[in-house]
Amino acid sequence: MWYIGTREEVEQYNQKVNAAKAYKGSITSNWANPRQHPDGSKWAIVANNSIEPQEESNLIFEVQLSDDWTPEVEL
Amino acid sequence: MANSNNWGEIYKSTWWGDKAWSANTLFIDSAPPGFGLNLLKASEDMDNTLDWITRTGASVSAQNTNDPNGELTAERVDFAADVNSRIQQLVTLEASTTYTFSVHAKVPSGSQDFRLKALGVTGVGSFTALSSDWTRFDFDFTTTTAGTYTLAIMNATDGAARSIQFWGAMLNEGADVGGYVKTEASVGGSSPTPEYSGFGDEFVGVTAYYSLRQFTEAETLNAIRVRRSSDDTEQDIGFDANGDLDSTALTTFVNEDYNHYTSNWAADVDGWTVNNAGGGTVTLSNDTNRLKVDVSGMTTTALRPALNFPTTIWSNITEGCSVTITIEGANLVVDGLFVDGTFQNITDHDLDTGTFTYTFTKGASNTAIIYFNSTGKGDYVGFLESVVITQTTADGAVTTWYDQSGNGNDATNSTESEQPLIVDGGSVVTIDGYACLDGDLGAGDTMLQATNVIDSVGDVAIFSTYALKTDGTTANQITFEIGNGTSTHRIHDTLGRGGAGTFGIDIRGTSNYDFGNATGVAVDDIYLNSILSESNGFYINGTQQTSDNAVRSGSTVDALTLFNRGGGAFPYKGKLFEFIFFDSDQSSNRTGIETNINDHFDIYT
Repeated sequence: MWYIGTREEVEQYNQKVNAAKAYKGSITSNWANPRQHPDGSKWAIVANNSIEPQEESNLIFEVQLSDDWTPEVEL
Repeated sequence: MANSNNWGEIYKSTWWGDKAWSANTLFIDSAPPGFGLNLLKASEDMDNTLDWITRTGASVSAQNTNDPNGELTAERVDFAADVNSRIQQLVTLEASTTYTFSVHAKVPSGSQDFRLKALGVTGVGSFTALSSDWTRFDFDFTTTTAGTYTLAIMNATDGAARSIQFWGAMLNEGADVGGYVKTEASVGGSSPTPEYSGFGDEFVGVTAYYSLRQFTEAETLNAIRVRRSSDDTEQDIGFDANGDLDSTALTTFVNEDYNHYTSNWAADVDGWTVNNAGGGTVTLSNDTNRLKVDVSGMTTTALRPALNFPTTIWSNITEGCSVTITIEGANLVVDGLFVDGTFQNITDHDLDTGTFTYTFTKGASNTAIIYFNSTGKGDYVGFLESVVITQTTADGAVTTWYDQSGNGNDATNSTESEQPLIVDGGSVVTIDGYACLDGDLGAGDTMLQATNVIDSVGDVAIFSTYALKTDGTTANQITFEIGNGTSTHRIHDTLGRGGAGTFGIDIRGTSNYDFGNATGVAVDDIYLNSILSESNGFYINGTQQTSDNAVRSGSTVDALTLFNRGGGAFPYKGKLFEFIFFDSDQSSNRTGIETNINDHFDIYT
């Protein structure tokens, strides 16, 4: 499950999850890394089941990323 | 030295045993068990294979140089270029006892280092700057339990190939080295079997070794570092007595009960709110550590009053939580829970005891509501005694897959959604009984990464053991990459390169090698891919797919990415059991390595 939006929006969502999680381990410190669409037009970030985006966010929820998010392996 | 016992110097031992001494009694007794004895065999015959075992490429040249007495009895041990290279002997020892392990050593030339170690026991004797003169080195250790111990003369920690001459190995009881006692070599019988034999005890020069089986008996190692989903704490997990992943320690840690919430109505309503007054009025208040629910003015029984769980308690709950709700007052009957968009009817709980337990799995919703049964009731008052939410099982995510080779190439990921799982819903992930890391159970695209794995531009040899999942046959899944995450990568192994259900391999260099049509990838079967960049090509389950050569080149420092390409976007949705990387040509060892892996995982016949 993913949220789609601008880079700023997905980064804000990641920060919100990180703040809520307050990781206790010695290694884990981040929820997810934003992923850019191959055409550069938008960004995606993995959704956390327990945390919704900030109210003013325009992030769009998608269960799965469509095929256009995955490029072919270069030959 | 004066002797207070008046019988001269007949008895000089400091050990008095448990005899009943008296003024008229003189015991002429032996020393304590082990004192003055050499517990090792073949103390001057380290080439004797009935007593000594060579491991990780070590070899012994018999009668190589004169011993300290001028006799030609001393051996030379040639340690391979591996930190675990060693010769060793098995000895049965007592519990909670201190022993001293000693040996005479010198070097043919220059200055060298070596170690003495009792495997599995804390501590090591490290000795440096050996000269060309005989010197006796000793190291003492204390056992915990009685049993068989392995005493090893090992290469130094730098892992460089070196030659050292040894003579007169000895193990005596006590913290002080005893006078040297020669022991004879065994005659007849069979060679001893090591207590454990891992990949690193058989093969030399591994650059990085990621596995859930123990690499060597020479070191006490961890396999993985695991983050449990219940509270995000982490713990290292090692191996059991058989050298397999310590699944007991793993599940004990991951599934440790974690209390997400215990209601506290001592001072206020603790964040509980009215969701639905059911057509009347519902007032909440705290009453002697309880939540008082005062329902009045009910005009219809078609609607049910309901309360919201405090929303803050849901933010870190994942799955498998046990929710225990304790109620008081026959008038307040819990009718159901509305969780994750679904109404859960729970009216058949035992009202006589006033307590029931309801277990549910937390899903995507952040909403949970308790509904009350108002059928046939007017105004009423009831109490919630307590609500406790406990997580009894959890997921275990791998934050670090330790490189057991000793080269420090640990594969890590600090991002939660990209960490592969080793425990899914409380159970260790396995195929055919073999534990493995799953790249498809986490929230996002998985990867583990080690930086600066390669520091040369020569040959590489890679042996990866993995299995596809049911939904893992789609194209373009990269099981691993060595490179920088771009098209200038050195090498990557791709599933679905020639379409779903195919293997592929891509090596970039002065002449690119691209092979993408090996077919027949079955779901949930374990495969071994062997990739030798120079001279041997690509093998699946020991069968050569192509003999094409490829010369790799590029920068001298490269990263290793497991479960993905370095830059992401090509996640491998399957399972990895083991990944072995040599930054050297292993074409002469390929069949032996494949046999070792196949013997463990039983992949093919």
